[in-house]
Amino acid sequence: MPLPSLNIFEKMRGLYTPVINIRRHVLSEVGRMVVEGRPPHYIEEIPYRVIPKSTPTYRESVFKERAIVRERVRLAFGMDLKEYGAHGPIHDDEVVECMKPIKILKRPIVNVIKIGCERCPEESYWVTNLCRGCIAHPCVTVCPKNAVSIQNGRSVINQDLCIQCGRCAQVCPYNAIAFRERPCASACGVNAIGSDEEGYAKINYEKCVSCGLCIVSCPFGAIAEKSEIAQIISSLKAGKRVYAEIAPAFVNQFGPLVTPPKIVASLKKMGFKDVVEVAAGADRVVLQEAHELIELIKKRKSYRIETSKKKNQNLPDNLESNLNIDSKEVEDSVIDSTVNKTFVGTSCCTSWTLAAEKNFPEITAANISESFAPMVEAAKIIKEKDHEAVVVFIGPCIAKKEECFIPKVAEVVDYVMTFEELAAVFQAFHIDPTKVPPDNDLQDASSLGRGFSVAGGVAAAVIKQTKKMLEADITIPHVSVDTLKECMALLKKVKQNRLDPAPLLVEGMACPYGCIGGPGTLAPLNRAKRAAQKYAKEAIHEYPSDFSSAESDT
Amino acid sequence: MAKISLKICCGMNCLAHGGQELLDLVEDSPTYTAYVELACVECLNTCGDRGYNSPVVELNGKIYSNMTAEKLMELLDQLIQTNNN
Ligand code: SF4
Ligand code: SF4
Repeated sequence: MPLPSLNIFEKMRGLYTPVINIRRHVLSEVGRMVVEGRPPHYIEEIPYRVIPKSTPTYRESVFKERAIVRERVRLAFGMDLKEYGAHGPIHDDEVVECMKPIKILKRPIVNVIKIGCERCPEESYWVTNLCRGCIAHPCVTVCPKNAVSIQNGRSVINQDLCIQCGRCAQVCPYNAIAFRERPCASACGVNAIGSDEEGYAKINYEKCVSCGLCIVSCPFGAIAEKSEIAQIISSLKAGKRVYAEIAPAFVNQFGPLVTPPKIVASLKKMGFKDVVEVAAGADRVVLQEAHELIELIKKRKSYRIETSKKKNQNLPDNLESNLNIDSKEVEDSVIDSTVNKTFVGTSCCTSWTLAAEKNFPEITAANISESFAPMVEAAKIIKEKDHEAVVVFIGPCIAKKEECFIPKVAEVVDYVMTFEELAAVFQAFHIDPTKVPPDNDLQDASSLGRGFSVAGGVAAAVIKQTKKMLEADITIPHVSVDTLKECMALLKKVKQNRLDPAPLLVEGMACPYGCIGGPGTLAPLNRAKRAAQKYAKEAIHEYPSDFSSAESDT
Repeated sequence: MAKISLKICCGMNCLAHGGQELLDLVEDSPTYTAYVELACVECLNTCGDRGYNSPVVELNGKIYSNMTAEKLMELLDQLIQTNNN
């Protein structure tokens, strides 16, 4: 019995591949260069450190290997890529600019390193060596376009006629016809990856939402993202008031020995003034979205009661009065756009909101929650306390780098770094979190806020909070989906009203399994998931609203 | 029969360079867990300044650097076989 096939995101998950190895060595070398304050021309040495041998290990020559590393180094410093084929030494001035504590990041975040791209063929059906040219040849018979024929005793597909329906592959008794995927394109849920004239992968930035999933899916490591570690380290070295806000997916990212208090201590040792949980921002988002949801339920009260009656549910008697709760807060947060609101779309995943806006503007404008992502809310908490704060978001996410180009977000969040990049920075500072004495435990957020990192967690949190605020156990139709492909399919259904019951709450997550499956993570999925769930339970408060009530009690 | 002692370094260098994946490899395999006494340990100080020897494991008291899943499986299989004979 063959094992069930894995999707593109599951195939290389949890494996430490040479591609990852190179990526991480580049990051830590770049980090070290800045920490040690090396002169600009040292940058030319990095490719030789990462690829020290004289015989090629991965590609046809070491020169090519080093040339690719060189491009990666540029990106790791936050510079733009050089045009392929263009003469491009790295100027010292350019490097000096990158080593200043000033934000330099420009679009695009996700880049194809052309020399690294092996020009994988675009998706197509191919006859493999397993073909025996059988007498029955059902492949020829079933093809609706007559694209399959038998030539020299073997089946051949005419690619010009093929419409990729896959019937031939389905009926072959030898499973001899395979669907050839292009890893980067299969990973992209918004179909942003095509080819240029020469066949190299090319990203259409009109469509791209910077989710970063193509980066981790390319088996040749030909796609990479820009990093801000050089500027972050410079800010730390310059003695700026740098604060870290750390996303809830961080638990267990640095191994089983590194507990959250140790991560806090290590960050402080590196020069961060303080560490705040992004989940505290998530709490604010839960409250806002719960308010929006209640508004929506109020409006659709009659509908709700009707559908529940149909299902023979016992509605609590106090529902009506509860729905009419006229708390001032609710009124304050109600926005005019609720006029056309048919559902509340979660706002925490940047790629999801971007993809929704780009592909379904007509239904998302009114429906995506007005709340900002937890990253922004948590950054506001920091900036409220310290106006000069330099805020660094640390998370599993590459799209957050894109989010920082939104002016309102840029006001509060200065830099973004992934867990993978943070590991490189730890290495650069020679800090081993296992050996750092633990700091205080983090208790900034509720269980529900911490639950955001696992797919389904956001919707679950908003619903729980809503029910608590209504003091009624009502059913709220909702859907949660992960991966952009699923998200887009779902929005299409919502648009065409094909979901029954129509969801009042829609949670979208671009990464498989949610943030813990993000492209910037270090920990294997199953570990991360277990740890994240345990960590959520360890919060003192369960509901975000518990914080305000705890405050008013004292 | 004494279990095979396997210590996997979980210091920053080793962790960033595949230590965690090695842990998974042993933990998720019932064959290995039956024979191996697995420990996740603090930095063994053998990865070199820049981590180019990572990940490091200590197998029955002997240090191996630049460990990969393939190499580790081979070593473990050998030890299990000699133990069984
Ligand atoms: S998977 Fe990688 S090598 Fe293949 S086409 Fe895409 S970017 Fe190029
Ligand atoms: S949307 Fe994501 S997968 Fe598609 S090109 Fe952009 S970063 Fe890559």
